[in-house]
Amino acid sequence: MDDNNKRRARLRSRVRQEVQTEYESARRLMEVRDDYDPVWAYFLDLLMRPMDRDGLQAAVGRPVVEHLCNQAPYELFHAMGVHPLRMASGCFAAGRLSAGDFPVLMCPMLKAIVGMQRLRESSQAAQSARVVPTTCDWVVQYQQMTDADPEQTFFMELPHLRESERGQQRWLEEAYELVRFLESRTGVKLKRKALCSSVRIFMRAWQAIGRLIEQRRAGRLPAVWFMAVANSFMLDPIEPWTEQLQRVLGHVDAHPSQVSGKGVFLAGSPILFPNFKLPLLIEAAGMTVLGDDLCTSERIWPGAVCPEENSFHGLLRALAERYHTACICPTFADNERRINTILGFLQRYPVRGVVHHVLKGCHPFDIESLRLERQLKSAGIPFLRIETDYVEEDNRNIATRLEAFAEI
Amino acid sequence: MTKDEFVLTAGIDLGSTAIKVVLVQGGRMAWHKAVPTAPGQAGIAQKLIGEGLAALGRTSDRLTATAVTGYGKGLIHGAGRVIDEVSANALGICRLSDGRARTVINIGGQDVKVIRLSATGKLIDFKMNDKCAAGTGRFFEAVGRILDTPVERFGPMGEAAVDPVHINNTCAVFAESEIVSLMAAGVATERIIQGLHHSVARRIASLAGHRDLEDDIYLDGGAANNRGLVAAIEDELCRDLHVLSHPQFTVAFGAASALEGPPTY
Repeated sequence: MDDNNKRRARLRSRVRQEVQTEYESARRLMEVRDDYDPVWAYFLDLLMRPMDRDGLQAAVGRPVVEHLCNQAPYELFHAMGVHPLRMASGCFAAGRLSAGDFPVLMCPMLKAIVGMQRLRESSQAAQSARVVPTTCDWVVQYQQMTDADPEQTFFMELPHLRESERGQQRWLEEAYELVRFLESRTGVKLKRKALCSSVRIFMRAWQAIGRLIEQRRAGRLPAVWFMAVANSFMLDPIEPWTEQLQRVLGHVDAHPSQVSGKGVFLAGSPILFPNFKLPLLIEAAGMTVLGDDLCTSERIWPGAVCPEENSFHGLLRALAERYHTACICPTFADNERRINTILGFLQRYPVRGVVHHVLKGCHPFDIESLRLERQLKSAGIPFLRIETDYVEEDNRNIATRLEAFAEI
Repeated sequence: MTKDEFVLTAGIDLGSTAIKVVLVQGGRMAWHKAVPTAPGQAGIAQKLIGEGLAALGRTSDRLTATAVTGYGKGLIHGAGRVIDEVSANALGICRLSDGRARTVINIGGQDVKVIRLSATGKLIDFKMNDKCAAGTGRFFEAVGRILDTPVERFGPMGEAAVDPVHINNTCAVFAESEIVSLMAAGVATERIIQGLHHSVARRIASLAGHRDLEDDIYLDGGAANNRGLVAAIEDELCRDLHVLSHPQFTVAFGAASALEGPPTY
């Protein structure tokens, strides 16, 4: 090994240690909370798994297919005997490993994803197949960023017009293409029966998440716990995860408590463990997040899949429609649905305003925040835009803004 | 003199660059002082209060309550009121302007805020820079060191400049290197300073968003004493700015005011 390779190995080792420290510190923050209960331990254990990708692969018991974003139907992967694993990370230390190779203002989530991958570049997991819905510009460039094997990467071409029949038809074609890609990688032919079974299994998970969402909206569940559960989605096989979620629901039912603080709606860019700084700062400022539209939180739940017919085509069509039309990602050009969803939420729940999270470099949410701010303020609804990344140096500045926002 | 007018309250603003303390008597600022932020902020604030009481010839039993605000507000225990600095600023400027202020621009040590308030000093909306330090008090201090010129002289020197240079950068780091280049090119310090004022003014105008601003705009924070900067912001916003006496103490005064009920304008 020459000197430079030794240096690279040492750097990776240092960053690996920093990543571990960051994850463990974040976990400890959750464990020392007054509202901690052993029922959460399972989910906290899962949140630590991304640090050990090979261990995670063994734990899920199936070949892993990685994916970015939420638009590829989980049910399809599961029906074909593979485990969909979302590539996402809120780890600052991991991002440090890749930051030097990318634009300064690049999405910190993508930096962290690439950093985490570099930490495990010698492992078998690096050879996983990957599914990438073409959402934002950063995601579209994913292939170039990682030098991933093009044969192992499938881009689902996301139509940026969602409400049109043309867009929906194109998305259905992409769902068929995804099936073909997975069939070619697994050697498994997707059967209607397997898809039916998978839809049923996930339906149980969606129902449980739906109940958890209602508990939070009723103010019976702090946002950070909700996010811990949501962030752990698919870090274990779906069935035991759903069982554990049922336990949580039983716990919340058995120990009814009311979260204190003024209700707010949290919108915008994804928030990922171990970086829970924004929900924690919101809580510290005397507010509580009653609902959100984050793709790593409430939006992992596409809602119930309702096929008009149980044929293979009917099921696939229902899945494609659900994951496409229900998605309110701002990469869609026609995203009135998102603003209407937020306005509808504000009418139904005791929420005093909207905190809009923009990850630095997350252009779609940044741009859409302008329109959202205009519409909400014209309706007399307080709106606060927080632009930040994974560092902690702006915590005090954000806290000041949140404290003031609570007083508006 | 009524009984209330013998009563004193204190407002402490533990800012990132300065600790400001005011003593309020009968709704008016009776005493004020600022010192640079240093370790042991709580002790420094208490010492300042003692100094103020002595200056007014009062004993500590006349001090009925203390309110605290600013970045370090969590460091003072047992305060009668802890209030965020944005709300304190709104309330302070409302009282000091007799209810006329509808917008206040605050240039603090580490941040710039544009605050909209109601006739009673209630916070309506605000904007604040994120972690970038451009245009803040800290930025002026850094430039002062490069130019070897005390910040207090920026105002008169800037006003004396007839042809300010154009400084492109709003990033504190790049603006500093741009200033170094201008100095190396022999540009007069006065022209650089006024160019800097315009650069900061553009940034503040961008944060404020011209359309959202109602008239009766006030400027506070220590930088409001800089007449050159005030003129530059007025030019950029195309509006008059009001600067009250002791603009550095509005927030501390607002904190003390929060100990009372809302004003009755």
